[in-house]
This record gives sequence, C-alpha cells and structure tokens, in this order.
Amino acid sequence: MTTSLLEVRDLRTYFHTDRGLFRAVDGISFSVDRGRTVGLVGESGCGKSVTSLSVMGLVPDPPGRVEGEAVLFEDRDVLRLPADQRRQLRGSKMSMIFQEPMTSLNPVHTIGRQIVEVLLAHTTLSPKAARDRAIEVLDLVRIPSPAARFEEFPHRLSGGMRQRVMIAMALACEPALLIADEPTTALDVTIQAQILDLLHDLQQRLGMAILIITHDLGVIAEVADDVLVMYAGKIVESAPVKDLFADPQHPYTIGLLGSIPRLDVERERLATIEGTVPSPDKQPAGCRFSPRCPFADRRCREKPPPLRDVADGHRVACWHAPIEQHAAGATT
Amino acid sequence: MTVQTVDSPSAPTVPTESALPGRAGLLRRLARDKVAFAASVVLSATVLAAIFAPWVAPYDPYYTDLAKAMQPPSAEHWFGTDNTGRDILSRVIFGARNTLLLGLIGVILGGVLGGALGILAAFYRRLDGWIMRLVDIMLAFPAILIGLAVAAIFGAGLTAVIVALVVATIPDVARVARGAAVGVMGQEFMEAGRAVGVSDTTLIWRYLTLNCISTIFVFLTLRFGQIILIGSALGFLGMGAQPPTAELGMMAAQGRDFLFMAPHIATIPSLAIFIIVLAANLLGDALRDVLDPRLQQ
Repeated sequence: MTTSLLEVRDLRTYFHTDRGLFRAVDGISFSVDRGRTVGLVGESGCGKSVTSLSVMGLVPDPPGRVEGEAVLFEDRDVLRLPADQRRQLRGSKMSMIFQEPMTSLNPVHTIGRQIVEVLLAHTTLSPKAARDRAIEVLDLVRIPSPAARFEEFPHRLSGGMRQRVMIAMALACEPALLIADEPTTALDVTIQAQILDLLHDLQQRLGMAILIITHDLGVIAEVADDVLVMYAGKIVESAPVKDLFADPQHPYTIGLLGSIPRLDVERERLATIEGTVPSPDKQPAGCRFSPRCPFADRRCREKPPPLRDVADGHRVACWHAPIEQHAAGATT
Repeated sequence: MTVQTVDSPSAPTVPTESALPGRAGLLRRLARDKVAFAASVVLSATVLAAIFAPWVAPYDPYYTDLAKAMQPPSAEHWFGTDNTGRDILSRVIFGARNTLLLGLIGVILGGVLGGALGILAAFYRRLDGWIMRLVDIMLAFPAILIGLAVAAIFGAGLTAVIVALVVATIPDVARVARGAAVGVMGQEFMEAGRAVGVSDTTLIWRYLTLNCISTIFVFLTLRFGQIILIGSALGFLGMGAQPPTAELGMMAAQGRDFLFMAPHIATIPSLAIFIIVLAANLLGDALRDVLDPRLQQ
C-alpha cells in the first residue's frame, strides 16, 4: 500500500468575524500522492486559497481557526505540530508560491539574499555554500546569468522573472510538496505558458508533488493529473483530469466547462452560470449549489448530497449524478 | 535567429513604482530643493559647531567678567555678553550642543522604543490592543507634566528632560510605525516569507522593520524640532540643565530678568532655538517629499 504524501481529512477552516462565523472551508477531504499534480478549481471565494493556507499553516489566527480531523503530511498530522516545527516544514518539505509576483518579494533585499535566507533557515550550509546553491537554483528556474542576477533587487525584474525567483525560493530546499496558488494568473499568456512549462519540468527533475490552485480550467487541463472542484467551501467533484473534461458529473463543473471558449465547437455565446456564490451567512440547508442549479429539486434544497463514487476515481457530490441518466430520464 | 521572450534579461527592465530611491538620487533630489538645501546647510553648520564647540567657541563659555557684563553685540563679542559678562556666542554654541544632544537622545531612544512597540503591535495581532492602549495612556500625559513629575521625584537635571522627551516621542512614533507596519503586513511578501519558513525574528526585522524604517525616520526628523522645543521649554522652566551649564532654553530664562536692559541676552538663545527648530522642520518636510514616491511629479 502506498500512502499519500498529503492527506487532508475533513478539513474545516472557520473565520470568527464581527458578522458571525464564516465557514471558508467546510469539511473537505482529499489526498495528493508523491510526484502527482492535483488541481484545485473553483471561482473566487470558494475557499480554494484558504484550503492551501490551512495546509501550510498560514491562516491568520485570530480570526481564523483551522479545525478538522487531520492534515497528514508524510504521515505526520501537521495540525497538531507545534508552531516551530510547522515553520521548519515550510520551505523545506512543503513550499508555496503566490499569485502576485510583483509584491511577493521583499523589496529591500536582493533576490539572492532572499534565497540564501531560506537555505540558511533550513539547512546547515555555510553562507558561502548557500550562495553557490542559490545561484544554482536561479539557474534551475532558467534565470539567465544567475550569478549577476543574484545581486539584483526585485523591482529591477519583470513579473515573469519575479515569479521565477519566487519558484526558486520555494524550491531551494527541494520540497516534497509545492502549493501554487494561482501561479500564472497575474502574468501574460506567453509567460504563463513558460512558467507552467518550468513547473512541469522541475517536477520531473525534483519529483515533487504539486497542488495547483486556479480558476483557469485551461491551466488545469495542461498540468494536472487529478482535479478537485470546489464550490462554497466544499468539494463537489473530484476526478482524474481526462474524466473530468470528458465526462463532468456535477452541474457546477458542467457550467464551468461551458463557460470556457472552445475552438472546436461553433457557439454564439458562452454559457454562464446564473447568480453568484451565496454569501456564507445565507447558505442553503441542502446542496449549496442548489439555488443556481438547473436540476435542483426539493431533496437538493433540503439535504446536502454526500461525495460518492460514480466511476473509478470519480467522485461527485450531487443527488442527480450520474447526470446523463437524470437528463435522459427528464427528456423521456 | 533567436526569439527574445518578454522576460529575457536583454529586454529593458523598467523600474517600477516600488523602486526604492537610491542613496545618491536621494541626496541629489534634496539638493535640488532650495529650501531643503538651505535648511540642511544651517542644520549641519549648527551640528558641526556643537560637536566642535571647544574649538569653535571664541571664549570660555563659563568665564565671567563682571566688568564686561551686559554688553551689546560688538566686534569683540559678536552676540554681546550676559549679566555676568560671559560671551553669549560661546554660550550659544555650547548651549546648542546640550540642546541638540538632548533632542537627539530623546528622538533616538523614543524612536527605537516607539518604533518597536508599533511594529510589534502590527506583527502580533494579540498584542495590538494592549500596546495601543498603553500608547493612548502615554498620549494623555503632556510631556511637560511628565518632565515636571520626574524632576520632582529625582530632582531637576538632564535625566528628567530625557525621560520627558522619550515619553513625548514614543506614542506618536508608535502610532506611525504601527500604521506603516500594518500596511507592510498586508503585502504579499510577508506571507511569502512565512510560506518558505522564515522565522518570526527575521520576518520582524528583515521584512517588516526594514520596509517601514524610512517612514519612521522621516517622522522622527519631523518630530525632532518639536522635541527640541519641549526640551528647551523644560530648560526654560528650570527642570533641565542647571546653571552654570549652558543650555539654550535655560539661557533664555536667565535673560528674561534683563529683557529691558539688555534684550539680546534672552533673544539670542531664543533665536537660536527658533532657527534650529525651523531648519529641522523644513528638512523633515523635504525628506518626506523626497522619500514618498506618491508626492513626486
């Protein structure tokens, strides 16, 4: 039996705000195997970023509280680790890169210095050796003339270059897990492709697992092995990437796929999903997607559907899944 | 043929708005501002004269010569002599030394303590309420009152003035530092630093403090003038340096008794205070303009 690198069991992240309890992540479970790429998709505010911060232990407390059964990383429950050991994990075993490369680097230090800082925090390298290693890592993320760039300040670099530096910082200690929170959203399309390509290449070389968070299904199709679809703090569908695109089961996933332009289908307008994510204090009692779902009936509105298997490795939280049968039943 | 990608190094790197002004550029921009230039010349001249007082001062500031008491300004004594015949120019130079030193100690100690409080309040959200309430309490006491209280307990002297000046500096600096630090805390690189396991000490010092230090520094230069004023006021009230030590505020107080006979005894130290404070304020304003990219055209 192979155990997963990361196994999240019933993760709940709540924020205690002045306006009441905000359940940003409400009982999700998933796992990431070594060397695999898992994509986490959903629209803004569905809790995908909070999920990643919860795994990293970066949820600001107060107001946030991370509860839940366990977050097993290399068979250790990181939720129950003392803060100091948790910090030691970050950057060495698990790392994270962020959406906004323009502001993700400390403006008062050279990029080299920032990479060295990570190395000195997690390894026993001498400052000289850390410097050599930092230049090596800059080279690894394909920054040209890394030794010269070592002394540059972040503001002298373009967005794409800064994202490379971020990746270099995150991978300096060769972590087993990289969480990438919208790593390409703020970049030009050409640079996006380069960065995704780089991530894929580094994954091959270092054998790390990637949890990539995005709202861009194009990115998911390109890099992910497995996909988790999140809606309003819950996972509504999880499947291998091919199955998800070929045979989406949840009405929300179907809606998401319908709202991306395709070259092979002639269509006047893109499909949209009516409405927006319900605000946390007005969550329906049953399925959270029910107010926007064309298939919703009484059972959907009253009872939340469990996540259940519809095919091998394909899980859906919908009373009507598999959806074809339902649709067929509706037309006859 | 090679295709240049957008983020290849040969593409020109455009400095962005987050670019920190280089040291050389900063001085050049300061020099271009005529008022700031004049202020810095006056201030540096005063500081240099204060530092090298024993060599600059034409006479011994403590040598009394009653035969020459209360002389108006002349070629021999540029600023005249006081009621005991001491040379006022020499006393102003030595007085500026004490006054500037007091102001500097007050601003530096208060700046460090206040800055640390503000930054810790921003970094540790749990401490925020406690620290800021403490600061509010400090803000409720006028500095002069604290100086008087300390002088009453430990006796008048430089210690009382320094304590008062530090207490006067801390609350405002703490607030400014906290404001700046809260802004920096919201920036993504703080979270990015955490995400790669940077320790709290490093985060506070290398990430947070270094990113708000220019704001704090500019605020302190602006406060410097006020701190000197408070210090002089305490000297004037007799809570600070004791005679015969030369200190500008105290000298003005002593000259008060002879205001009608020899007005220069009181007015010259007062003018010295005025010029130092004005120069410090103007320089602080100019520094703020230069360091704040939003105020640049």
